[in-house]
Amino acid sequence: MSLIPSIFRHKGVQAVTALSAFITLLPLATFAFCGFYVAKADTQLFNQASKVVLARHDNKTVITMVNDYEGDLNEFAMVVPVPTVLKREQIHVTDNAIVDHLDAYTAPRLVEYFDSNPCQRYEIMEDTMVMRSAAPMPKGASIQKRANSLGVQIEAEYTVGEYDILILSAKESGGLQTWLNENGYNVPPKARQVLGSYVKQGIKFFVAKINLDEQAKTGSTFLRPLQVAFESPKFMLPIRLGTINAKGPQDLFILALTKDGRIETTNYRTVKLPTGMDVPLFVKDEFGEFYKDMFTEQVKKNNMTSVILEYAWNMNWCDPCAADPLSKKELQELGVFWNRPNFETPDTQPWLRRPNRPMPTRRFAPSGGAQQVFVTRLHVRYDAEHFPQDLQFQETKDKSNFQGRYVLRHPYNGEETCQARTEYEKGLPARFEKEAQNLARLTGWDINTIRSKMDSHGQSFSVRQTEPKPWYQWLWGK
Amino acid sequence: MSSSATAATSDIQITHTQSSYKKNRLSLQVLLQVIHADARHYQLTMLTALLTLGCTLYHLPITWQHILYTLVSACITQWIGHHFFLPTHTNHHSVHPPINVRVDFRSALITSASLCLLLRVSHPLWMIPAAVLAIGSKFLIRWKSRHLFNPANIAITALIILTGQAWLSPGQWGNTLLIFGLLWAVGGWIIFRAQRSDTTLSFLVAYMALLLTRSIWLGDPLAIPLHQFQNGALLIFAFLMISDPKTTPNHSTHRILFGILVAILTVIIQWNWFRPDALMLALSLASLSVPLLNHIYHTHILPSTPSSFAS
Repeated sequence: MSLIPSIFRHKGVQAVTALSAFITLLPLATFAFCGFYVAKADTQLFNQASKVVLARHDNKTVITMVNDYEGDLNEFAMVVPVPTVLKREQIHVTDNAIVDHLDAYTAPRLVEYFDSNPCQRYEIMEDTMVMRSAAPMPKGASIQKRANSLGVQIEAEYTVGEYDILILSAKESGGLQTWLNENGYNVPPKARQVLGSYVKQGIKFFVAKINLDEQAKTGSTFLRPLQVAFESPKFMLPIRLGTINAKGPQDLFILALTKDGRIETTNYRTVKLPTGMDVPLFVKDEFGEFYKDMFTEQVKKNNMTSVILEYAWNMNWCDPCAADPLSKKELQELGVFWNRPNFETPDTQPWLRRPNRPMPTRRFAPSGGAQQVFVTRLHVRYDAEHFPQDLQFQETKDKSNFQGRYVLRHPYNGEETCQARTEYEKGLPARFEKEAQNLARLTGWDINTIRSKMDSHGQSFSVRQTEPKPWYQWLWGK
Repeated sequence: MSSSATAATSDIQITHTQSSYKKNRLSLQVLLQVIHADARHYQLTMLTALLTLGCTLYHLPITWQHILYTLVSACITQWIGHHFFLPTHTNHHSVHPPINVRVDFRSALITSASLCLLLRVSHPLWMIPAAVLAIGSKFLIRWKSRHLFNPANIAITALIILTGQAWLSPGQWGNTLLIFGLLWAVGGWIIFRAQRSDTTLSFLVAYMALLLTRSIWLGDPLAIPLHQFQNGALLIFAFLMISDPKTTPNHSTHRILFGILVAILTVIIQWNWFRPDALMLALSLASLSVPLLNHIYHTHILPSTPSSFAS
């Protein structure tokens, strides 16, 4: 797409939004990007990564926990501190696909521009889409008796989906640890201190194992995400238990759905991922590696003390889209309770959605833009040394949109020659050098390797010679 | 011959260097004298440095619009307050100030800088009611010729509670030791000059003691209270807000009590309601106790003080 129309479009948007902002004190206007989604980098790139979806409003929280467990199902066991005793209706199992959809929607993205013909500066080029593929739990009175003798109270016991779940409260950490170990939850000795701290804060423990019979009924080899809904002023994620036996730093993705604005951590810095840079064309083939190394570089720059903001956007739309916005039904499944679908709004802007096109630059939510949902994607690499406290969050009123977005600019490759073309060609090596430096700075990759890769991918650092055609050749189209 | 010429040239160079050194030293001395003249000058310097640091190194979302709206509305409110609402105690015969008393914008600038540093809003225009509330509170919410609340504090609290469009970002200053040391040293200097170090120190000591006690009771590692204590926003609050000489009690013992009260209220709010703005709420609440403490000071302590001390 040529840049000229996009600039006009931006100005139009700016004028309208600036006016409405002045009158109604709406959040600052942000402007649409112009470009096409070509690749996304999802969370599966990271080893030892866990994913959590948080839907929160007015002290009410729904947490969706994704298990990437791939070992023997008999040995699966999880212990999650929760603030209250949960009823059966407060626990649910959902599909991985919905979380994967949210993951894809919020993933950092690569967009592509094609330079217009420098000889025809005002031509509006047609959009073209380039897309790349992107231990069975023992039951009975004796268990309860043993638990009581250890000061552990089994508050509730449920089977939800393929999970057998207990809600425990305890008087002291030693008894709890003994009970957990006796019942097949392999809790490391070092966990006692952390468990003790949670016990004294009145926190309950949500413990789960796999019910193999129920698991067989699902017909799936994957474990589905577990969800819990509760009401508590605490807006936090307990990460301390997970750091005890970790072999190194772990990655955690927090996908938050809120009503009023993005979330941020209140006891650690939240910093934005660098975004909007032009990068060399070969990154298209190595986007996964690029994202991983760029994230690692950012962690290093922040001395591993910060949480990184990767995406913050109004759920009604996206631009460019790595995936469609989630539907109301999907959002409800993930715990968005304030956006009830009983007043389904009519689709007022069908012409904007252009369903026949493979992946337009901008997409709107399937229900026509009435969703009061803001999504935030935070990514943190943590260990006990750098993140001694559990993560605490707050919902801010900041509705400004942010996305991790990296730009490929294809140079014009046509035949036409003119004076403007010669000037354009002269400017290319400097532009390529800037792209190389951007990439080196973002990822820490060696600049010389980058330059030679660019050279082999058609981004030459020497000026291409273009001879202007004789004037008479243009006269009759020969 | 050539060597002597070289020597003469280098002499001239030395003299020239010395004179420029003297000039630089002189300008530095003048600058230091200006800063030294008033504790508010220290505070303004410190706040400006922090604002610069926040906008550059820490990438805080502070734009020129935030700064402009805050400064302009704070200064206008100060001007209006000075000309129309200045309390009569400055001039017993008229509600208007004496002609020769010029409007002083320094405290308005300090309040503006504090607001820009600490308050986050959904739109920069919200900085206007914040600044008007802050400066307006100095003229309107008074108790016996003193304003009751720290202006920035009450504006932040009011905006967060009443509008729902404002928040604090206590995590955004991070927990790095560098800023910790910097704030500690420079902030301490300010407090020392303002002679209100007792409030800050008692608050910090009490808050640290409470964090440590809870952490020992919970069996948490020392890293947790240390991490909480190194929070940049906490230290900005302690050195630049709670130390305000106009809104803390008159007597030293009372100031120490006041610091402890703020610490206790903070942890009560933090541990029960988990609010990230606990410090601001605690200071607003604690400020209500200042008239009582000052009343005790004036009725019980001041009359029994020997006249030489009292004067």
